[in-house]
Amino acid sequence: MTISDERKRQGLDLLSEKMTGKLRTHLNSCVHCGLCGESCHYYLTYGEDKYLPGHKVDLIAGIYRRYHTLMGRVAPSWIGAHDLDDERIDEMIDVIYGGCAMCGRCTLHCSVGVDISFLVRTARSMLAAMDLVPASLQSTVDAAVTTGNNMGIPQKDLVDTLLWLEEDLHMEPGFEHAEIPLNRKGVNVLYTLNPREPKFFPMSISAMAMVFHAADESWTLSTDYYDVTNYAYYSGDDGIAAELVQRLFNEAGKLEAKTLVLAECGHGPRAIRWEGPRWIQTPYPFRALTVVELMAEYIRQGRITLDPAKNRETMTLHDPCNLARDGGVIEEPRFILKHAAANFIEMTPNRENNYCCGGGGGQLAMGEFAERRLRVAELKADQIRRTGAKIVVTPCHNCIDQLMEVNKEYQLGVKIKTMAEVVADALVLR
Amino acid sequence: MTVWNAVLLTAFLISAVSSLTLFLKTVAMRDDYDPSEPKGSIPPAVLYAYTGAMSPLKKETANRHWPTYTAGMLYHAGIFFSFFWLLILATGIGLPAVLNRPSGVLLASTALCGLAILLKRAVSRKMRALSHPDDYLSNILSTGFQVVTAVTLLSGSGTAVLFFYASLLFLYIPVSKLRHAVFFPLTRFYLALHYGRRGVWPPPERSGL
Repeated sequence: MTISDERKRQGLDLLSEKMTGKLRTHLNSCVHCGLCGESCHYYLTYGEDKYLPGHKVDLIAGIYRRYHTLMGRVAPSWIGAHDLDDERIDEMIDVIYGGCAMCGRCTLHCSVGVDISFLVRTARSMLAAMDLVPASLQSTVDAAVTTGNNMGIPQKDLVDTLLWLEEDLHMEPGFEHAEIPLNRKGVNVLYTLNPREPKFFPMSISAMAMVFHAADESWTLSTDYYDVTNYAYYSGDDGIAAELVQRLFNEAGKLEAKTLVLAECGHGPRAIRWEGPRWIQTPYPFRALTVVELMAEYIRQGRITLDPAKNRETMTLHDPCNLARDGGVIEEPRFILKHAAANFIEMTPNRENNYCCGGGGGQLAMGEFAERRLRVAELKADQIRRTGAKIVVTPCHNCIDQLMEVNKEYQLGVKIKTMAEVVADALVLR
Repeated sequence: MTVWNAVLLTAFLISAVSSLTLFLKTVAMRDDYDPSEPKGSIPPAVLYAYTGAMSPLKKETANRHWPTYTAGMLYHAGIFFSFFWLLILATGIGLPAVLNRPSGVLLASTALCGLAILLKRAVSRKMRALSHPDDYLSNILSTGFQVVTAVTLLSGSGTAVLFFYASLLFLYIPVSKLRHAVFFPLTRFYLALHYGRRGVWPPPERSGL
């Protein structure tokens, strides 16, 4: 691929613009010890040098050294400094987008503490500035920008689906008066959705409506901006990422919601809860938390009662990387499962050490790298198989999609469920 | 003060000023304002970053690589021990001579660890792919520093050679991979800010499952 000098300049300018103390620190800290390889599911699967997290660091750190250090200018090859040339750019696209899930497992285990996923995202931002985001990922981002949700669901279709779900809900004993309120002002909770829910998994919306009903929560959905995902986080485009966060921020303000509850997703809550306030440079005047944390609160406060005997099959939990390792939602799902499932068994490793399912980093949106995505998931398949569980629960629709494919590819014979479904199944109505 | 003392002092000052400048410039750089509502607390996370999180039991880079990890720790300990002896010898502080031999033997051992790491870098395909000439020289200089210090202590002579060698090492620190010594504390600190704010560090109390 031939990239014009002007576009390369845009990539380099972005690196300079993003140069904070944090970035400079992490760019200078890798010692090339090579011990990070065994923490990366790509390297463990392929064993190729290009997947070494240390190599991924070097792809961007080498550029930094070339243009921002004395030795890089005087003796570049001595210290591994390199130009941002066409060959390097090709490798960056292949590895930075196609060979990394930004799961952050290598960061946690790095012998020094280099924030490798942060550097990978910075490299993605450089590529985005050069207009080099893989087409499929970019189209997902574009859909969110132009239609308000990443799947391009027309508002009418969404409303029809939600009305149908509400009618359907009324047929469930105990939920005759349950609601799926739309655009209601002044409620406590503005609930978001992963667009995959209305499109492919509507029952997870019903499940959450049941939980809200049982908790006697004052809540609503917005039919304008409800998308919890933010694929610009993965493409590296901070401008668009901020725009998407701003929309939800404005929607919460418009509906005067006290709490923005982030649906079951990994990267979305990370983008909105943790990166969003920084992107829009504004603290949220409302509370933002994940639905997993909210359900744990309901249990703790006695707002919902669960009977674990209603979920008897052996269940295991897949920790979404962005939720657990980079979002601190680690014990809440376990607390919920303790109350909602009779036979819960941990994967090994788990919590912040859990392996990525393979679908992170925008991999599910990038058809270009689908083969790799499934192959690296063998590690996850083995983890699941070793538990002997019949159900894998995970509070992330991205992970669910990937795990459903993994289930088929590796013939695991398990059911994949959201956390809301498990909780709804265990509800005891008063 | 001998000529070699002067050379050493000059090299040290150049290195210290450069390294300190590097450190202070980085600390003084702007960092993004982060208005997100913290879930965890930063101070315990900072403490954890330099203590519990460094535990080999917590890091796969240690517990999946015990020989390399152990060699690396001894190698780094040897570097600091060599600096200690350099300070003693350069300032003329008198320590009991009985310490020289065991210290020399200890440093020879830690130098062997450095050599083992160097050999691994040279022999392993993975390590070669990840390495630049700077990585080799940084290791050679640091390992050699321990060797020269050990020889000086064991032979009771050769401080001029040690001072000259240490001067080269000092001058190489700020322009090479060895600058990670300057950035290491900052790296841990930034990681603590990240994980601490989000409630990942220190690890939350387990739910009892």
